[in-house]
Amino acid sequence: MEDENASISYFLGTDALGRDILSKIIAGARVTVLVVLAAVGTGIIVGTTIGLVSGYFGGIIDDIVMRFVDAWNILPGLLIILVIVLVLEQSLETLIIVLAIVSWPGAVRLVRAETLSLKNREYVALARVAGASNARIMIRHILPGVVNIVIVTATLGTGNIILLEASLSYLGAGIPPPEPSWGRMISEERQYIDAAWWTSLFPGLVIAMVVMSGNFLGDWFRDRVDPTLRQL
Amino acid sequence: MRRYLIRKLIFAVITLLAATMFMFGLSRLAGDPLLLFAKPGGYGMSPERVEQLSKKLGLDKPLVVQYLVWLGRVLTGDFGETIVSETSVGKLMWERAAPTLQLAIVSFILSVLMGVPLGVVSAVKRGTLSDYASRTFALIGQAAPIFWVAIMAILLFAVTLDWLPVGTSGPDHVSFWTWTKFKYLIMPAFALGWGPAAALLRLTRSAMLEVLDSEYVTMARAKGANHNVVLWKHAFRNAILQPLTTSAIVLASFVTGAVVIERIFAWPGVGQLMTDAVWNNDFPTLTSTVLVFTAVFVGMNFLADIMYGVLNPVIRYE
Repeated sequence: MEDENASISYFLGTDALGRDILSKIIAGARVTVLVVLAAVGTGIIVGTTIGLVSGYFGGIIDDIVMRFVDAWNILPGLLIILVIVLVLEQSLETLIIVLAIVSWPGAVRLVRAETLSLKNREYVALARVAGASNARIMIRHILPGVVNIVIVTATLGTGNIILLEASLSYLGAGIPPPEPSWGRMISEERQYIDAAWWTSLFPGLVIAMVVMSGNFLGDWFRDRVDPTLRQL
Repeated sequence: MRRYLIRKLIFAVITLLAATMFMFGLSRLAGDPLLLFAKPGGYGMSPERVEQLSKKLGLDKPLVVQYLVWLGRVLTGDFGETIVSETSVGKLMWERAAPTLQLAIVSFILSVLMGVPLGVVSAVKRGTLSDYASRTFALIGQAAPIFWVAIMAILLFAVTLDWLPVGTSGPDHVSFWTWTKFKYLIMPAFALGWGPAAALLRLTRSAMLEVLDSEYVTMARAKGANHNVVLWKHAFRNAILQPLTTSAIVLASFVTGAVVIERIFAWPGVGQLMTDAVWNNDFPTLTSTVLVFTAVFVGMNFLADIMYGVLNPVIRYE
């Protein structure tokens, strides 16, 4: 079957094997959203827990955790993920785990900073006087105070994780075939670029629009929860 | 200042050491290194050959010793041999360092030249058409996948308009500083520089807005200082500090970008060596290139720390 440009039945045209681009994008959305949300969700839960514990107890645990986060920040994430994925078996689960590994340190830093300022508040001291355990104080009294920051970080981080996943898929280490993936759609069709521009244009446009929406949503959230941070 | 720098340096070195341990561990996890020498579909190896090879590679010693030996070799620039052609990885990387450096430096200059002036314009002419245009430029740059930008650039400037050549780094015998050669660099450099330019633009814009809003700028204006003097001497010099410190981190982000960009433009740099290694399952080459990139990345971050220390009076006078 030949490449087909846009028509009524194939709205965005077809790829080299005659498959409908729009259908592939929609099918790819499901996998991408699943992977990205699972990764961001895992990363945020782990990061929040560690940040909370590290900030609340302080001491040597805090030192170790923070040095680890600092170290991770000065390493090139994409390359390290690439090597891990190649060593482990390439699968959706592996991908989710490595993407989660990338996203947790960011949450740790922010949650820890917020916890440090909250744990010295009077209401926390009063809760302690009332006989609340450490776990109860962390979950009932401090967690609600950091949850805003967690949501903002998660939303702003989603765009980066989508881009990271797309780059990995483009390099052949992302979502494994036969699952459709936006990044891989672009890399597979790249060779036909001079004959069929639509095969590369539309998947990339979708990635850019989704990332942009995530960034907008994150900015909006940040302004909503923190009135002092007006958008400059 | 001195203590600050020493602390940062020690930390960078420890991080780098941890990264080497990690890489070494991963390369062992990837499977028995001896199996890499048995070509798939070949005849396998005789027990004598196995013994000879493991002696040669030091695999008969404990893991810690193996790591230390490997680390010692890496530090002296001996990265071992590639699986595919059994040539020296260090030599291969050295040959390909120049194209990657060219690409990174030109992209860096391009991203600063795009990001900083547009950020200033965007802040000074806040709410005008040029502000919206600059911010749209930043929004797209931060959201569009780098490989897609590259492919779209090829589609527009090479396929449709036929203005720029694509597919190599240009003829070998021509000097780099000529237009013939430079033409090949424009698209990769722009595709690589757009994202960092967007980041710099946003930073410069918000820093400028903050400074323009401050009291000493109002004071300078009230004093009757010339508009341009206020803008460049009072506001810009203070606002640029933060984007300037971040620019070293921006440069570090070229490390990951270059891997993708070199692949697309068939740019014969270290990034391409790395992606080729991914395809060929060439583990020694892969870990070596990743290690070198990691070292550059850590180094750039250290540079950012130094710049921060020099530019920030609180740390300078510590």
